[in-house]
Amino acid sequence: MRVLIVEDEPPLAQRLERFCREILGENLDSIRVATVLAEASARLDESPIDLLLLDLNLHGRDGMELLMASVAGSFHTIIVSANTEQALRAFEFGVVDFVPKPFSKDRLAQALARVTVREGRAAGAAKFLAVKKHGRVELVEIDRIVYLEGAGAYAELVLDDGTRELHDKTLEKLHALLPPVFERIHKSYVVRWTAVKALHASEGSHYEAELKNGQCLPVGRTRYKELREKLR
Amino acid sequence: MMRTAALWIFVMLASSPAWGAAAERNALLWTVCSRAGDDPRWAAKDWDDRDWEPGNIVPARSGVRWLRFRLEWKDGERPDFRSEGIGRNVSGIGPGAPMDSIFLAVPASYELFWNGRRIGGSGVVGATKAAERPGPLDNLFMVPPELLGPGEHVVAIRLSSHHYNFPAEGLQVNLRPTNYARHYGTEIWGPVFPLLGAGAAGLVAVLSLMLFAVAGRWRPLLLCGALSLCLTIFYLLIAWRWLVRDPYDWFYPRLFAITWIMTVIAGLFPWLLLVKFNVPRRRWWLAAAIPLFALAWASSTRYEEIVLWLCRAMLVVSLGIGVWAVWKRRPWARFVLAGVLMGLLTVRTGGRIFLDPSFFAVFGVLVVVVFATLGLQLRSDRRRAQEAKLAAARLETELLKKNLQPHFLLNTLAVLTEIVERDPPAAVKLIDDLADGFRTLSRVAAEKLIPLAQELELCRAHLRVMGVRTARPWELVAEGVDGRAPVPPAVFLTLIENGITHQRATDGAAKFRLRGERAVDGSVRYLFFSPGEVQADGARPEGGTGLRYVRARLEESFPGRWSLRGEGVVGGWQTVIEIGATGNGGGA
Repeated sequence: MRVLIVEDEPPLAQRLERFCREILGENLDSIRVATVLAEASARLDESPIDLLLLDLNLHGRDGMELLMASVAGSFHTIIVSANTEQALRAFEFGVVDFVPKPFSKDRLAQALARVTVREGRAAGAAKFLAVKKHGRVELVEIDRIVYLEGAGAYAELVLDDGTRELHDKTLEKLHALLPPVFERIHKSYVVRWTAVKALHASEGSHYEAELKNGQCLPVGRTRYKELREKLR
Repeated sequence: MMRTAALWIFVMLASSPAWGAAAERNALLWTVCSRAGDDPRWAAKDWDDRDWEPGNIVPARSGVRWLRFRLEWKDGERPDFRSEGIGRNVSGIGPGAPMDSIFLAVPASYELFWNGRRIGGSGVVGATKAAERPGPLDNLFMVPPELLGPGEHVVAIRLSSHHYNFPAEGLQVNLRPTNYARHYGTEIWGPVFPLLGAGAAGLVAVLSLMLFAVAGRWRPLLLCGALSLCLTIFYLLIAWRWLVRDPYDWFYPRLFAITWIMTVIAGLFPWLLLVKFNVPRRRWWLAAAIPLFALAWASSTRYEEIVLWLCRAMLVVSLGIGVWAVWKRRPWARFVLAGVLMGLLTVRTGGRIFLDPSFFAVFGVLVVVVFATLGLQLRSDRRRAQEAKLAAARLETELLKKNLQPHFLLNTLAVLTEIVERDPPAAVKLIDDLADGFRTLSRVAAEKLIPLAQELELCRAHLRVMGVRTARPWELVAEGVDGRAPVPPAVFLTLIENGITHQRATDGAAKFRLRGERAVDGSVRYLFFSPGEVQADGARPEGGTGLRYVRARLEESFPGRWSLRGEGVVGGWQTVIEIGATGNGGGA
């Protein structure tokens, strides 16, 4: 795992770095520290990361933009901040966790687990997904998403009006952020479970989910049985 | 002569509901003549007075003098009275109220004869001033019934006027035939309005002056009290004529006093409005009023007329002020304007009571409105005082929040958790520095102003904590400052916090600098430099809660004589605070 720490108080940056090394152990591929996000983000393309630990004050336009820019990225974001009253808002925008300062190693480990453990989930409190569009970051309401389709390192969000939005995160990462109503039905599909009308099995072990809008999505063979139970 | 006559009409108390000049039934006609000298036979009905001087205006202060009024009862009936000529005022006589008496209001001592028979008198007539004893001004004489009847009658008056003190040379003598019962029926109303006015104005005066003494020495209250006191005296002086039968020589001083007190009222009322409505250039307004008052004094020789015109002049000036106040949207201005307008339209002369009863009503309304607005203003002033107190409390809370605010503490604690593990002695030092800051803060929290030295102490304690947190050797260098100079607490501390939060520290730039400059006139200028590149994040330079706090503190301690501005300079940001010397004007 490649981690970036953005923290302007050096003793705390050191503490975060030390804890990350201890918690992630061999899973840690690289770790970098910056005092402000702008400093580090320019280099994100050359040396991509998987996780951002961000000290953020959401007061003012600046903080909000920073948050949106980071959650629109391909990496997961964990906020580490004393401004706990902003936690709820941060979750709405799809951060994986919000670690209040001062923090213990255990608390940080818990946050890192949400990212590292397979099938690990965020709190499911996200209300928006930030997508980069024409060089800007725009918010998409999660309530409008019908399903997500994986496309390699990216994912496509399919909205209730049929429009599609490309997101920098992988399908796995997005699924981790979404509320439990979203169900993984296929290695390339995550669907809003309430949008599913029926499951069909056709010859040749070919499974499909029929959506309420008439559209059909493929269902993985391993998922079919479990999903049938769920639909019953 | 005109002047004399004019004065006398006044004395005769021309009352407002004048009868038509051409009376329909001239039941009673008279002629009048007079001569100097003194002879008891001149009272006789059949004395030959054809060589006497005609007319009822006689020289004043010139020994004993006789007047003879010849009345002719034309009808066979007793007149229920209309007459023409001089004695047109016949209040009290009407249908069912036949003439049975004579009313005289003459500033002289006299004896009154009806067809040679003495029916009454006032004071003691004398050939010299020493011998004369002045009697009351107003007298009503019943004519014995057996003397009344159709035909010719002669009313003779023997008078002396040594104590007559009007500036005029002559005095006019008028008879008013009247009905005894009806006369008293109307007389009883004479003092009612003035007494009511005196009571009400007296009450307002007492209330205003008491409020002035008790609830803060607020000038409009004093003015309102003074005005009401003058009104009380004015009304009492008017009512005096009915209440006290003083000698006739007191009459002129009383008129004079009434007119002067009205002049004072005419000045006080607009002045009260000027103060009440907070009108600028008050002296100009009063300067404009003075010619009007002078005109009023010159308008007539009759004091009731002068009083009327003074009142009108006052209302005209007040109208101007009222219009200005309405234009400027002063509270209650419309009510005052309406009252003034009503007064201007209705006020007129009302004989012995000087001004028509409507004057009392209008003035009553005006005083009540002014009093009510004063009350409202008191209320809003008190609210403002409370708000100021609240604002001070808010500032204190804000100051405490600065260092007690959760973010600051939590961030510091977070750093502390790391340092405690790595370097325990450094952690102890950090705790000491933090405690230092809090101790200083707790000493200054309730103060409006603290010595600059203490403020610097507060700043340095904060910088030590921030030094550990940000791993930078923050410093505050003070040059040319007077440690005893008073400054609001946490003003420079706030500038430091702003600097650390909003400026990107560049390498080696960790030095805040404060320079003080004192001008000859006692004003002080502080130049505060905060290092680091200014971030274009909109939180700087003028907005922020921090600067709002600084502004509120400066205004609290140096109202209207401070200024604050910020500018980018090489290597950082400079904030300039100027505090004017006490007594210096100028805005923020």
